[in-house]
Amino acid sequence: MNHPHGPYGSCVLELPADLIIDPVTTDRLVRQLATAPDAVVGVVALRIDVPPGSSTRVQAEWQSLQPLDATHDLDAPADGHRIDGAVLLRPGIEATTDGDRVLVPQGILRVDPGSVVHSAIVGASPDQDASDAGRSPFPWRPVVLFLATDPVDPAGTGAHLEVLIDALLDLDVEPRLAAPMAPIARRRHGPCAPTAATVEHLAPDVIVALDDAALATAPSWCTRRGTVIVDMTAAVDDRDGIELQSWQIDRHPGRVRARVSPAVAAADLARLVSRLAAGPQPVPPTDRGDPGVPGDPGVLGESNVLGESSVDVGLDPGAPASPAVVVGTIRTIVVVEPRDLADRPLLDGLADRLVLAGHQVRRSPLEPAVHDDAAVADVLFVADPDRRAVAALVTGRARTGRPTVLVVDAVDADHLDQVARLHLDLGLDLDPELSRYVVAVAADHDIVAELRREDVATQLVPVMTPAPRYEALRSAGEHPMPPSNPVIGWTMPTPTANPTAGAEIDDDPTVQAISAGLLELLAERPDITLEVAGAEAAPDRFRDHPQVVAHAGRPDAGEQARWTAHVSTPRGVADLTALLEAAHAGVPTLLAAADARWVGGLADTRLAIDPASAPDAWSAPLRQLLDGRDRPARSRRARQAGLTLDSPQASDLVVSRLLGWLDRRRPR
Amino acid sequence: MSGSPVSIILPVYAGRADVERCLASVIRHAATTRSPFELFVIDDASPDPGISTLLADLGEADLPFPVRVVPHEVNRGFVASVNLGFEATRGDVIVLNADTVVTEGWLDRLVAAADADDVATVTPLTNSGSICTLPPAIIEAFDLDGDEPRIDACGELLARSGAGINPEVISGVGFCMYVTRAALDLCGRFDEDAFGRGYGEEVDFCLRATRLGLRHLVEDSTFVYHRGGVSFGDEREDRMRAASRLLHRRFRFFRDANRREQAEGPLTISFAALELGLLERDPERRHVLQLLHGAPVDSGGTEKHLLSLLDALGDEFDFSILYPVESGFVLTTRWNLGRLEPVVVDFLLPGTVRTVTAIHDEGAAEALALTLDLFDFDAVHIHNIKGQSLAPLSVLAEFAGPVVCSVHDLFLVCPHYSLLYRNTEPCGIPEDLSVCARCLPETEGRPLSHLTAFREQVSGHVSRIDHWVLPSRSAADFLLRAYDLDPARLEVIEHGSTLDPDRPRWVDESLILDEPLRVAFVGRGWAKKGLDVVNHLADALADTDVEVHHFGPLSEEASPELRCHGAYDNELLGDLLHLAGIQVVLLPGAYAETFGLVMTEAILAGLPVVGASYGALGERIRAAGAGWTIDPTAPDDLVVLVERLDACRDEVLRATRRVHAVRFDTVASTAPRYAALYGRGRDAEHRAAEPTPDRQGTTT
Repeated sequence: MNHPHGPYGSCVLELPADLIIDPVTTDRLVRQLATAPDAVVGVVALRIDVPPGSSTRVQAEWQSLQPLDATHDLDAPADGHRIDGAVLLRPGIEATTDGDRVLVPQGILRVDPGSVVHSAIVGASPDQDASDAGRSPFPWRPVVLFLATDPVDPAGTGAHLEVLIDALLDLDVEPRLAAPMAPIARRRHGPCAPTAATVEHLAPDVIVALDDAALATAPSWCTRRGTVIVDMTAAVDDRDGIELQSWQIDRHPGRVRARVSPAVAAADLARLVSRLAAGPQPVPPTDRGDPGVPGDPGVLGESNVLGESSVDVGLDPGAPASPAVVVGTIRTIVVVEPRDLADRPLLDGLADRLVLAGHQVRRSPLEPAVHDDAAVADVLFVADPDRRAVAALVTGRARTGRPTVLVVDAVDADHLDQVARLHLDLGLDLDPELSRYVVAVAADHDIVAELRREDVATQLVPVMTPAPRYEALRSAGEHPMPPSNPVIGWTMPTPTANPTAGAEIDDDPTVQAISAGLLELLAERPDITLEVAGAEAAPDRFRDHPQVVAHAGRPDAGEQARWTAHVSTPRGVADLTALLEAAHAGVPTLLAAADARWVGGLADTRLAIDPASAPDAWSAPLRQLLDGRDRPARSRRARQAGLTLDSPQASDLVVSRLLGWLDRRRPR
Repeated sequence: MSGSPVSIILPVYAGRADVERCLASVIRHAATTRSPFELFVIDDASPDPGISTLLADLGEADLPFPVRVVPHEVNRGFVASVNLGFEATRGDVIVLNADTVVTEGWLDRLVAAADADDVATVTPLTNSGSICTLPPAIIEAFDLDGDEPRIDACGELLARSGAGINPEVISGVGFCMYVTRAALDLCGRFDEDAFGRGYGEEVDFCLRATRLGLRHLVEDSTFVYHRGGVSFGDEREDRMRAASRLLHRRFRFFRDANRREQAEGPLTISFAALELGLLERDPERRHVLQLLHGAPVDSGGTEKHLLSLLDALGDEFDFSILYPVESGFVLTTRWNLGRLEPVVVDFLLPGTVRTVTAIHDEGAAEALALTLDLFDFDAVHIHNIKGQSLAPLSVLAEFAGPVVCSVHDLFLVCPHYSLLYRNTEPCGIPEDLSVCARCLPETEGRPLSHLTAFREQVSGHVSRIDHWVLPSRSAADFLLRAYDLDPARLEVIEHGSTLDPDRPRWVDESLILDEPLRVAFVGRGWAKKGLDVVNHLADALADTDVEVHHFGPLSEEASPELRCHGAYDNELLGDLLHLAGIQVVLLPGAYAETFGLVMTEAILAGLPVVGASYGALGERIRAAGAGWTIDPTAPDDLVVLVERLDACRDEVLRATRRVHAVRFDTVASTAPRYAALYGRGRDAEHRAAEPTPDRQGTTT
């Protein structure tokens, strides 16, 4: 019997009718089955009871703290498995249910103690205090305790309460019932005894007093300062059944903050609970020894003017001594690179920043002389390799527990299947233990997603500017040479970043609008020069224009720093280099608003052009930048963005993250 | 002013072109001058026969005012000529240099400024005239140092944009000095014997008047051009030095007073108003004054929100911001003049080095009153008046437009606005004031009586606030604990996002499930925001894979186990957190936040947060399941939670997915609600259109 209890892919959840499974458990079952050997036909969640003062959801959360590898496997007995719980089965595996049992005729089942199901029928627990695990291990939902000291009429108030409590569970509240008598019922929580210990264990955000005695007693049982009390002892005439009690000081001292009708709607009560939980604590603090920590931070406390230097990661001048970024142990690293290094910004930047982070890096094509070093290096980076040449090397490293990182640049986008096949060639897919030592990095989301679909563990790593270029650009941007005439830079999309556009660049409405806007400016201002980077892709109208200077590649740092403004139409990660370089050089970049969105913090939102298809939308801000008054602020912003995202300190974060990931992939 | 016409005393010696231009300007503007006046010209034996002819013709010309021309047989000098004028006239006089050009309305405004019993002299502003010299920006704008100065245009600017506060100075300036007959009667004439042919005589006269209790004013809406620098040639420097020595001998207070005047800059406001006038704010645009506790720089949450709001409303409104600094108060403009950036001009209102400690600070009251006099404002928006005392509340009682008060923190509830009892745990605004009696002396150095007086003062003025704006319901509920507010005046407007809320976000499962757990404490590193709790966490998890990071400036000592990265730029925070591979943001301060801008930034970065269960963080986390709540006063709770998250990455993934479902308004999309408040007064007609509040007093 299949039950539509959630998305399990093509797997099937067998859940007897009287059992309840929480999404926390189904998430876990799916993960366990995905990583189990093929021989395991299903993963079992056994049934357990809801403790008093807890809920099925909270119980599932507590169980999910069990380690993922704390499983054990059940070989199939001769008469098949008979499971008191639920089973997530692989596609095509036969199973049936028999009452509250799942019958699986054959195959190995994996039992996960971190996955549990509950009976939908929960008995009364009037004599037991709430469990001290009644609160979630991952607290965020408010805990509301319905407290009665008199027996609750099961047919009247009791029935309504059960409906209310059930609805509150679906509204992200953790309701509990503490009453002298709670009959067996279909519920997702465990009733408990109305005692001081219950209140102490649950430390509820709100206590809803159901009778006068509870209302009178509850305050003395509260041990948590923030707990407030809601009076539900009588009907309230208000439209929504809620009457707030003013908590202005001297009006209604004490914890009671509202009266609600027993017939209050669950949604209204949930909103009230959330509000009361966030409000001022009804009980004052008490002294707990030395008050200790001063609240005034001294001279640094009230101002935080962020100059450019203050965003230096790890360099906060004037602040108390702070530990620097921990990059970790110095590694020996070999980078195996192709002989042709063109268009490999990810590899160039990464290799350079590894050096900058203090690691011992050797870069070389794969030659015999480097082979021995590569075999024993702490980390091996491989870019566009001859697979057959590196297969033995990488496999040998994996067998000795040494990681290899495949560096996948945008130029590799059209043969990602080959990168993925490297795993196959190495036979790593046959041995999951070895595959953990071969991973990939890429700067493009699409590439990362594609490799992950092919089961290649891949980390997203930004393109970083090689250190010499970085220094040159920062330096040029710090002291830009004043141009005799204003210069506008325009970077065309690189073919690798825009493989689908190619010759159609002229048809791009954004490029057309930029062209029209720029031509208008050039006609209006003969003193302006337009420098086009990636000029081979420029529209024809610019090719022989007397005010246009063409650059085949990236202009040098000094040339860029002389630009008053930069226009870019990035079509992929490879084009971000142009934005980064302009930012370092202190040149504000105009982008289409849609591009600014995916580019992220590197984009200056004040220079995000919308509508991008309108020539005036480009030429107007260019005029304002050209008149000089607004440029300094935009230039500072550009340099700050460059510093934050591409400084050596920023790349330390990237390198540290990458190496930390490799370490974690090692077996414990 | 005496009943006689004002006499313009004009000594003439050389410089025919200048004289022609000066006379022409007096004649040209006579038609629009309401005050009766005569022109008394002394031909001081000019060597230029053309001048004599010019003056003779002037005496015979048919002009709408009387002209007397008195020739000297021999040259007697400027001082003697002026003294002759003093003696030959009966009413107030204006001593006018011949190298000046007057502008429209000049004489009437000087007369009006002198209309007080204790005024001795009034001097207009000029391009060359000691303390009355206009700032360089104005001189440059009208080419007043050039060959073709735009004198009338400059006069129009001053008439239109002059502050009209007529500041008091130690002495008038002789290029064009209005002297009351009363002062002349009391002080006598210029001291011709001591000052000879000139330099310093008018200062000597003014200081004598000062000793008799008379004042000297600068008419700061009037411009009189003065070519200047033509008298005495090479003797000029010597004469200045001699005059200075003489004045010092006669008036021992003069040098000190002069130094003090230069330091205080009595014309600062007048000049700033003119510089602002130069920018030609469109009077049709509505103008809103914002009150802030510090400089409007992009640092704290209040400032960030304010700047974003002003940007968002910049198409519709001009803004000015008043805030305290160590040396007084600064008024900063943010006027939209059609450029990429608003025009920002700061000017320091007069005052001395000071710290506001009183509940009602008179200096703060004066600063606000002066600001309201300087410009026309359509509305006032209080953001934070810490550092301004409660004085603005009483000053605004007289303000005619709507007053909006945003509650960014709970300063109006308690001077110890973090509401952290003895700086350790949230006080909840206790009923029992003995709690406050223990806390305030320790945290604020104040007795309990200060708090009760403070709250009484606020209570007395809350009715003047037309609209309270609360960024969260929790903030409203804390405020309502202290004051009985009109529910119809409370409105919850969550702070919109200052960043693009539609920026693509990506749930990186691999990062969450496969990488070391990285948690980041974001914001200022000090105890109020939870640094001590994070230090405890970093120490406790030092031997695990869990990485504990800090992004933000440090104000207190960090644990060596905490990976500190320094200050960050808000706009780039998301990118920075992603670079570091952060999965969870920690906001463990015990302070009950009123909103939590960092939480917004974290959520926009797609990251779940850990924050206090109470206050706005708790409210917002619960509303969206955007993370987890803790009791920040129990540091081990955070350690336990982070250990559990490390053990159960699916929980992090679930929270991350919930975070990605959260949608934010932008500041721009909330801005119309503020614009409506700025245009909405206290009249019942507008109030009828407001949303219905609940009984505890908030509308959403």
